[in-house]
Order: sequence, then structure tokens, then C-alpha cells
Amino acid sequence: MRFEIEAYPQGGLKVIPLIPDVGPICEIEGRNGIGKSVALRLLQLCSGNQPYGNDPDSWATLREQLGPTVVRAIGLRDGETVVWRLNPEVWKETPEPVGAWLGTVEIDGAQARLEDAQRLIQVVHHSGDLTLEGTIRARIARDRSEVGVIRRRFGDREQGIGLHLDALRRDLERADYHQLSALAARADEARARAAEEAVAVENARAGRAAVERAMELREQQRRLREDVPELEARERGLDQEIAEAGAELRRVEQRYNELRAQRRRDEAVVTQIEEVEKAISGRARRAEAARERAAQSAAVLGLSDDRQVVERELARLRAERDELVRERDLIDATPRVRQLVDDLSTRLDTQRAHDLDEQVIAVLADEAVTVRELRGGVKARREELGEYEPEPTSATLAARIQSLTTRAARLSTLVELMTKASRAQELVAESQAQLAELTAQLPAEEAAEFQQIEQALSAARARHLSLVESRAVVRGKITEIVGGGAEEGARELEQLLGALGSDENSLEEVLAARAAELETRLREQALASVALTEAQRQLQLARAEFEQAVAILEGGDDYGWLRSDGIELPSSDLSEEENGERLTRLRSVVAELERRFDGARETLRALDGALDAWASPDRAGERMTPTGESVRRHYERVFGTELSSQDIVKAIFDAGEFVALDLASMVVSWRTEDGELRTRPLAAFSSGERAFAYTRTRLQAIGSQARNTVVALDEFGAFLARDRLKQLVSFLEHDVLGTIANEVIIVLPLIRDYEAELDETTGGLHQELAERVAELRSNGYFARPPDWLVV
Amino acid sequence: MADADFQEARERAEPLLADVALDRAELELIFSLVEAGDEETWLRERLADALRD
Repeated sequence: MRFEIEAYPQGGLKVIPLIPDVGPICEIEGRNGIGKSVALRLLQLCSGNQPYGNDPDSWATLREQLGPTVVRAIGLRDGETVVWRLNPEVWKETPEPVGAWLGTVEIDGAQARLEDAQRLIQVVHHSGDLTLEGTIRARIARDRSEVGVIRRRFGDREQGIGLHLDALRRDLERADYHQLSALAARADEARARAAEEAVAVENARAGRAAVERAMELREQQRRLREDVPELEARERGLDQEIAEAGAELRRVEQRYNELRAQRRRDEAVVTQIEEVEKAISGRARRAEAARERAAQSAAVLGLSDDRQVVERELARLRAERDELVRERDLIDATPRVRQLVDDLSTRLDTQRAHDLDEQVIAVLADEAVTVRELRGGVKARREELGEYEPEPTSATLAARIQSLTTRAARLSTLVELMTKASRAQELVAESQAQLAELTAQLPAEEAAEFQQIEQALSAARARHLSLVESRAVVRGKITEIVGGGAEEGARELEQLLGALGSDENSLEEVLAARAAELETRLREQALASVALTEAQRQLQLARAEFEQAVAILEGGDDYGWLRSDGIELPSSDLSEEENGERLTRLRSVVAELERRFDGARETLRALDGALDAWASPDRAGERMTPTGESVRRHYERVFGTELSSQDIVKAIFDAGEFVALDLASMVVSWRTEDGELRTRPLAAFSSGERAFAYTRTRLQAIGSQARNTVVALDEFGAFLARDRLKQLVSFLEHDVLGTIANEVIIVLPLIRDYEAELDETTGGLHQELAERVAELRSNGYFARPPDWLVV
Repeated sequence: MADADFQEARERAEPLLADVALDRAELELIFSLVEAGDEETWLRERLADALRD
């Protein structure tokens, strides 16, 4: 077969244009630098092998300087012709394994694939100038290149997979069921603690209330002992005085009636006076009754019969109640939150709000929330709050608030009573003024008589009223003191003191202690309440995240690819627990897969580094890694097997037995036929020994499946100084041609001075040498069948 | 890169990978991924297998 290379390289790069068909073994002999090796490497590239894998600089030079090139292999075993059209401009920047980027291929004029051409022809390039050490390192470099192919493909694929895994992991992390369960447990704990603290507050409050009650009862008993007898005596005295004042009033009224009866000259005025007086009498009774009720009510409430005092007390009560309402809301804001949520829900459910569904209404931690999302969240919260039950503490406070409200209502009623009494008094005063006007219409003497008796009547009524008021106050005070009963109070006080373990004189100290205890418990309860609110908030957030993740995995566009092959994904139809289990399993396998990816990536990276270090002669420091050690063991075993082959052992190990290769020091040890153990650095073997032994081994290792295999032996100058040429040619003819390859190309430097020999030769030999000289002059090389033995 | 070339690279590299550093699971992961046709299908099947296990 013959090879033609049509190239127009620039920048000093050269490539020989022709390898003629001179027979199964073709010797190419020529000057250095004319492009013999470049031609062989191009053929190697065309047959799919990357010869520059460990030499990126030479690859860059070839890529930049070669230019568009056509390579032809003509006259293959079955007469085929293969043409490669190469365009180095689009070649890979680094010497990557050969792919479609190399160029186009035609087989017998028809477009074909690179693989088709490779099945037809393989060119195996073997360099004879490699040292044993260099051969080993080149082999490692080649393996690194192969691993690099795997690594790059793996990296490319992993990038795509990684995007899916990242997104999946992020969404699964949002749906952390363990975290959700933990938060639910924490919320339960916080709720339990809040309930405990509420009970503790309740107990403390009850404790303080018991002391306060005991003090009230103690005071009641004191007043029962000291005040009530006096009050009752006073009441009896007042009863007597009222009776006397009543009798006096009736006497005055009698005198008045008699006077009116005597003065009937002007009936109209007297009749009017009589009517007004009746009105005054009725109004005075009603005013007295109102004053009596107001005075007694004020006394029962422990207040003086003074409207300003009552109003101040009412204001104080209301302020205290408001303070307690604030305290209740601080501990349990749920009622107010529920109200707010209800308001929000109503507003968000209007048509106007629905029209704005996709608009952003809030931004939470960089995440925009639409009207629709907010409505859903508020609805969910509203449903939660629908199950709200007030905590015991709130109930206690509510009771206290209720008590204050009740007392405030009674005070309010008292104010109304006072207002009525005041109004009734005003009416009495109006009637009295009217009476005075009527009386003035009488003759002066009569008027004086009427005025005198009216004044006496008014004074009698005032005195009666005053006494009635005083008695009402006394009665009210007695009622206030006696309360539920004097004996019951004494029994209750005795029981309370027993329960408190105290006597009456120590109640102030006990009260101070109980008040301090209540204060402490209130602080603890407030802390527990805050903790509960926070735990519930976190739980709600986690649950919202969880539910969102379930929804995304169940129906989100990003996970369409995941919904088949029977993968058990979460579903809104399932329970939270079942979804949690599914998500946890999925999260676990995603994590395991990521872990494996990490491991594989790291292993490939470490292997690449180790291979690079072992392929280089001067990077010993980078080999001292676990992977570097594994690489060393691997290659010592691999090369050990190859160096143990019969040919090698016979050629360079004294026909003995190979023992070991130390890859780090590049030293081999073997045992001679006599059993002597020898060691020698690989560099110490002669080039002839190395080349022959390794050439044989490497050629025998060729496993080409192509229909046409060409072995190109390059840089075989080492053979020329030795008689191994005969051995090599014999080996090629008998063991290579026909079994390993169907053609061999041997490339040699110019080994003789043919021009000088021309004058010394004659006949056919002279003619042959003259042709070689002519070809050398025109092309720089010539190609012939091997003639080392004949020429 | 042509599949044939990749297969060749795999055949050469696999003994080294297997011998030097990788356990079988890692090796299987690498080659199954680099030979996969569609990444999403590969990932889904992988997750499905793992979930079944």
C-alpha cells in the first residue's frame, strides 16, 4: 500500500509527501527534520490513535502550522482507497482522543465515518528511541489520557445531573420531616411548659388571693368586733331620731295644712300653693329614697357618699382592668391575632383582592409573596386558630377582669343613682322656688306666715333626709362588714389561716412572700409563652415549607422528569407522616448519590494527579499519596508481568527470573540461572538491549482488529550499531508480517554517505546509489525495501 | 467522541481504575453515567433503584 500526504505546512513544520509501496517492509531513510515522524504520526491520527497525548506542545505546533491536509491510503488489502481530509483549525486545543473533529473520511470515494476507516486500516507507531523508563512513563501517560477521557465525560454528565440533584436536595431540605417532627415536639414541649407555668401562676395567684382574703376576713372580724356594735347602736339611735324627725315633719305639715285652711280668701293662689306643696312632698320623698339608696350603695361598696370619690374609684378600676387586659394579651395574644387574621382574611377574599392574585403583596427574606399565596397562608392560619382554647392563665385573668368589670358596673350604677338623687333634689328645689313665688303673691302678713312655716317644713324635711342618709350609710357599712355572714367569715378565716400555716399577725409577711412568688411565676410564664409562640411560629414555617415541597414534587414543572418508574413521591393525598417517610427516603438516596459522586470525582481527580506524577520523571513528591501508592503497586505488577515474559527475560535478565520492579527508583531485580540475585537501574541497560526487548514485547502486544495493520518503527538508529538488525528483520518477517501486521515501515536517519560511495561503486550498485543520491537531493529521503543485508 | 473510541478508552482504563482506587459501586456509577443516553432518565432510574433497595 502507499500513503500520500498533501499538506502545505507553515512555520518550519515539514511532512514527507509520500510513503511508496515497496513491499511488505519499507525502509525510509532520510535527513533529519524533513517530516518523517510527523508523517507517521499523521497516519496514526488518521487511524484513530492520539500520538501527542503526552506532548501538548508538539500538538499545538502541529495544529497551528499544518494547515488543511489530505491523507490518502491507496491499495489496501482489498484494493480500497481511504482519503482523510483534515482541518487542523478546528482541532481540539489539547491532544484529546481522536474524534469526529479530526476531519472527514471517504472510502473509495464515498463519505464514511472515521470508525469505518479505522476498521479498514490501523497505523501503529512505535518509537525505538524510548528508554525503558521512558517507555514505562509513556505508558502511564497514555493510561492517564484514557482515564482523562472517562473523567471528562463523567464531569460533563455529572454537571447536568448535579443541577437536578442540587435542586432536588434543596427542595428536600426544605421538606425536612425530622426537623418538622422535632419542631412539633418542641412546640408540644413549649406548650406543656407554658401550661405548667400557667398552673404555677394560677397557684401563686390563688396563694396570694388566699392571703388577701384572709386579711380581708381578719379586718372583717376586727370591724365586727370593734365597729359593728357601735354602728348598730348608731343605727338604733338614728332610727329613733328619724322617728322623731318624722313626727316633727308631720306636725309641721299639719300646721301648714291648718294655715292653708284658714286662708281661703284667694282660693286660686292657695290651691296652687297646695298643689305645689304636694309636689314638693312627693319629690322630697323620692329624693330621699334616691339619696338613701345611693348612700347605702356607696357604703356597701366601701366608699364615701361623694360622687367625685366614686367617679375617681371608677376611673381607677377601669385603668386596672385595662392593665390586666394588656397583661392577658401579652401572655396569650391569640384572641387578638385571631381577630387580625379574620380581618385580613375578609379583606383578602374580596373581588378586588382576587383581581390582584399574582401581584406581590409582601417580601419576606428576599422571597416575594403574592396575594394568592398570602390568602392561602392566612386561610390556613385561620383554620388553626379556629381550634383555639384559652390557656388556664387567661381564664384566671379573665375572671379577675370580670370581677373588676362587675365592680365597675356597680360603681357605674351608683353614679347613676347619685345622678338621679341629685336630679330629684333639683326638682325639689324647683318646686320650692315655685312655691316661694306663689307665696309672695299673698298679702305681706300672710306671706310671712306661709314663708315661716314653709321654712320650718323644709328644715324638717332636710333633717329627716339627713338622718335617713346617715342611717343608710350606717346600714351600708354594716352590710359591707358582715358580707356573707359574721360566723361564716370567722370559720373561713380559721380555715385559711390553717391552710396558710400562719396566724393573723403574720399575714403581711406571708402576703409579701406570695406576691414575690407570683411575680416570679409571671415572669417565667411570660418567658414560656414567648417560647411557645416562637416554637409555634417555627413549626408553622417548617410545615409551610414542607407542604410547599410536597406540592412542588407532586406537581411542579421542574420535577416532571421524576414522576415515573414507580418512584414513590410525596402526595397531598397522603398523611404528613407518610410524606415525611417518602421524602426522608428520597433525601437519603440523593445524599448517598451525591456522596458517591463526590467520591468518584475525588478518586478520578486523585488518580489523574497520581498518574501525572508517575508519568513525569521529576515529581516524586506528588506521588506520596494513597492513590499514588496504589498507582505504583498497579504498574509494578503490570510491568512486572511484561518484564517477566520469556523474550525479555532471555534478552536482558540473563535467562533467569524477573523478581521485581521498583517504580519509584526505576530499578529492576532478577535472579540469574545460577540463583544469583541482581539489581540494576533501568537506565543502565544498553539501548540495544532495551529497544530490541521492548520492541518485541510491544509489537506482540498489538491487538489491532483492522483489516490492514501497518507497524511504523521510528527512531531505530539504536539497532544500526548492533547485529540485532538481522534479528529484527527476521522477527518482522517471521513473527510480525501476516500475524501482527501486513506492512511494516522502518524509519531511519541517513546512515551512510551515499555521495561519497558513488565513486567507489560500479554497475548496478552504483546505479542504485545514484538513484538514492538523486532522491535525497530532491526530497531529503528515499524509500526502499530493507537492504541492510544486501547493500 | 465516537462510542467506539470511548469504549476503547473504557476498556483500557477500567482495569486501572478497578485496580487502583475505586470500589465496584463507584466504578459502576462512573461507567453507567458516562454511557448513559439521557441524564434525567439515568438519574430517575438510579433513584428508583436506590429507593427499592
